[in-house]
Amino acid sequence: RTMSVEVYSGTITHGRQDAERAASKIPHPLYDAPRPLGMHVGAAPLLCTALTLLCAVQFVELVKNDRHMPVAVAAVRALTEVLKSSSATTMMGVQQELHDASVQLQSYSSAISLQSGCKLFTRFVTRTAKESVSFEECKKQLIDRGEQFMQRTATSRQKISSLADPFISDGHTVLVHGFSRGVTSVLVHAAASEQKRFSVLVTESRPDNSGYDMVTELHKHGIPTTLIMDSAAAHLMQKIDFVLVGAEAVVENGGIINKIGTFQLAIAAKAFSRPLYVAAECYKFARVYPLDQFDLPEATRNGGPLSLPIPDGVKVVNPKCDYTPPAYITLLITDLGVLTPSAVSDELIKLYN
Amino acid sequence: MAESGEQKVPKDVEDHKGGKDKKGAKDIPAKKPKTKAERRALQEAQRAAKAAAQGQKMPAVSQQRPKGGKSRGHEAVVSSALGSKATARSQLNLFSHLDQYEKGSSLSLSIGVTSDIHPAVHRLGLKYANGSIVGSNARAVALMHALKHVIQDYKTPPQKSLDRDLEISIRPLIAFLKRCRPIAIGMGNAINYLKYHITRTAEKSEVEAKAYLCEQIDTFLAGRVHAADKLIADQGASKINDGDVVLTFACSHVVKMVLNAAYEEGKKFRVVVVDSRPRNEGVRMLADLVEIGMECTYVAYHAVSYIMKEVTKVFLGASALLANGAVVSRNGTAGVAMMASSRNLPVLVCCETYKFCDRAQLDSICFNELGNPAELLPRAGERSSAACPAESIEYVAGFADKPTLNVLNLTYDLTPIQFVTAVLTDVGIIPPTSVPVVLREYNRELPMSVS
Repeated sequence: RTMSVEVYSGTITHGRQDAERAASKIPHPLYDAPRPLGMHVGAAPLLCTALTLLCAVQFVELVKNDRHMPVAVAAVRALTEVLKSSSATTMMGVQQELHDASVQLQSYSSAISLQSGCKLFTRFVTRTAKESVSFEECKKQLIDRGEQFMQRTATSRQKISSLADPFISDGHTVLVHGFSRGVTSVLVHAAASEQKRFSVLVTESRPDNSGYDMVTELHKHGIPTTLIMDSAAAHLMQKIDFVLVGAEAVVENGGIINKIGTFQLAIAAKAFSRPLYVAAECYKFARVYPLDQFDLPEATRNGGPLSLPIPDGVKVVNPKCDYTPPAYITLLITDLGVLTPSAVSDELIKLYN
Repeated sequence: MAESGEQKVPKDVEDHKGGKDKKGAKDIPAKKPKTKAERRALQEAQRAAKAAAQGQKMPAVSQQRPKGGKSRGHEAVVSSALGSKATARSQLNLFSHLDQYEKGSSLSLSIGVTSDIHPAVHRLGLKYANGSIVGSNARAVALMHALKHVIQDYKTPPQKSLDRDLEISIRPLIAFLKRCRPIAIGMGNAINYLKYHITRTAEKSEVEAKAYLCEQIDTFLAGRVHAADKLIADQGASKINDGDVVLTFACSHVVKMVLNAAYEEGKKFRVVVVDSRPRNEGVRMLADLVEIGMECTYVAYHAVSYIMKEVTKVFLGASALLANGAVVSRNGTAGVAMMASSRNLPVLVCCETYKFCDRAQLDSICFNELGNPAELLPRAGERSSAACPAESIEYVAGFADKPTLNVLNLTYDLTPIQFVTAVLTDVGIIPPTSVPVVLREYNRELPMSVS
């Protein structure tokens, strides 16, 4: 298939690929579907075993076929395939294969959830496989755990939606920031209930204007929606009951990394004593501990030029993500349960013990 | 137990070794309640009588010398060896529950009388007492090495088993060390670790058991102390960026390793060392850092608020971390942490997990160590000025004779959890709220005890 050839020709640079594609109008498997922030096609690494090739093909297929599937879930599926087709004979060998496959997948997307999902998967799978009779049995155990993890990630959004249900009451006004599938599923689930009617304020979320996608999506489900400017959030905060955001990553102290503007909302919410709830799946828990806004991994940085032309010599700072410290977050609604920010570290320590 | 109303003694301050006396039960109703002055006079009289009685009891006790016997006998031997306690003077009520500081001179005099103290421990105790070994890690490592000597030289008495008797014979050694200088929480955890492993030697022969215990001590030191320090240093170095101004207080071995690791990685940063009286431990830290080649600034404690506006990060060491996330560290740390917090600077505490303690404490008062009051005051010959005239110095220096003058020299203080941003440990960078989780998951071999 042409797709495979494009993706795996190691020496073709990013720019050239894009240019060629624009010229020939081949729909790009990763670009043309609406994706969450952070997706881009990086140059595929030169080292490419058959197994990682298989994994990457799986991943790309999944991502192309199901627009609603999060990248991390697709990655977990692909990694399970790696386990099934693995020919390694030792635990170290399996870990190495998983690591190589993860590195390959991360070249397709800089989303932190992908990175943390792969790490968590590797850790979860290899954790209990200690002394087994034979390596074949051990491998079977690993595959089972992999399937288990996959099941869990597949159903995580439903779990979060049902856990978040009691937080939305009749007559509430909810503020959300930009487009987030996790938040959408929570709101849609709550809207299906007969007992409550609530309305939603959505910020535009510049510069990619993902708030417009959110408004369209919510309107489809009959939820009364209002679009506001990002800067109007503090002005309207007194009319809001709580703020609900998703997360790109949940960091070790219970803070979150999310679309730029989330921290501002959090500060305004705290000033008005409005709770801030985060809907995040457990595979987004990352072993990162930012001390301040600039202690973040590089991948979350520049979002590119802003829209209107500016004079030469004027710099543009356009970060894609910001870090919201745990002091501003009331609760995290995850598929592991409803957690306080300090409980996130508990879960991570237990897992990485 | 009280047999008459006169026994209503709230505390006998001298007898702190055997635990506190229970408060006397309710008075026999017939007696009239005494006023405070009367009770005080009674207390003084009883104390004097007891001191006289003890003076007579000493020779009788030292003849007993039960081998591997009850700990009470050993305790009496130890207290006799260390000299009688300084005569009671007015104690600060707020700190009267702590071990009061005793002048160190009496220690060196009568030691050697008893052969129950192993020479390695004896040496160690003296080093603790005169301040040759300071710092939680240094003390714990030295303690473990000394106990290793003790175990190697230990011979099981006939009719006894090692796993029971060894622990009993270690008790007076620990008591001796406590009298030299109260032990830190990390040291207490290390001792509990050893005791736990002693109980696991039930089925082994003496040679095997001793080898096993020595191996466990080596593992503890290698894994929980030295390897932990290395891990913490790497993590800390990753948190230091070019252009940072790192502030540290007094002298912490782990923080030194962190800064060294960052320097080795080629990061461009400078260090501010904050120092405080009376120990001036910052000088040692400063000298070591300058020798490594770092750009350092040395600042006295009162200038912390001034220097803080240049600082970008604060790294602090710890003596212990408590279950409620509070940090027990050298006196003065809390102030530095609070100052940094007020400017929203990250405060990173470097602490190995063996120093984690199950206790929760809200203030620096309920458990602390009292240091030598004399070192807090300027010495009699020191340079005087109009603001600090020689007569005043001399007057205050004679505080021992003045019943209304108390000098308080606390060794540790407590930094509440809200001023700590992150804790660097051998299990990773964790928020201070996760201390109980680490205790549960990692410290199973250090049975929780409130020492």
